[in-house]
Amino acid sequence: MIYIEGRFDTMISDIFMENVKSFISRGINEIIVNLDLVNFIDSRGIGSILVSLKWLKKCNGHLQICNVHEPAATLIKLTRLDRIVTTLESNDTSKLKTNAPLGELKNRC
Amino acid sequence: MIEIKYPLELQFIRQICQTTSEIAKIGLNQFIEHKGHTKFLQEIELMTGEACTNSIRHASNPNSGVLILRLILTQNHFEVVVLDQNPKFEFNDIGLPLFNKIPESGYGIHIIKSLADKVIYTRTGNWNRLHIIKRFSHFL
Repeated sequence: MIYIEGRFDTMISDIFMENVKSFISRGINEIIVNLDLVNFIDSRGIGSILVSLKWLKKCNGHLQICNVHEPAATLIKLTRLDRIVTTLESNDTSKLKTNAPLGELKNRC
Repeated sequence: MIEIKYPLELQFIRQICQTTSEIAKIGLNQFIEHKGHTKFLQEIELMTGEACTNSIRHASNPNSGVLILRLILTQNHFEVVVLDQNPKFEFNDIGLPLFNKIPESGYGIHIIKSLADKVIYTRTGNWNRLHIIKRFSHFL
């Protein structure tokens, strides 16, 4: 699981994608992005989620997001990310698509 | 009106967003009930960030150019004006993102048009001017 805390914007999106790359390189391809502590997100943050989703799909993995509330919710709807990425209602790992183990680390961005 | 000039560097986006929010907050207490502040400020901050990010990303000469941010507070609305000297673009011809192709970028104008009450693009000389207006009435 990757936690984003604070602003998920241009400055953080590159760090986020590096984290995703790092997970993929270690064979972890089931990622949940926890947006509970996000107090600002922009289109760059959304774009980095989409880039990561495409990377994971290439290695038969999945990306899901959880704990989506305002202000992220408005932007996710505007960009239609909610139609592309599965949104978990809460931090409920039993709703993962597969039974693959979660990543070992909780990365904070 | 407050006018601030910024270098064309992405590292200033956060400062631009937060400055805009703080300036808007100063005057909002007079016009919006407190519970309406948060959403209004979030949307103002987001639109400003998207507009300025576009200016910086599309700058043809970032080393010598500037971005001018103007903030105007009135009794009825808040205005954000972003000026740059990038090449002219056809703002009104920019349509919706191609959502079915899952683009990784290109959402900025769509976000601004969706959240603003009015957006006006003009070109004067070699200056682009994007004028964003957001009314308070929805948040009263």
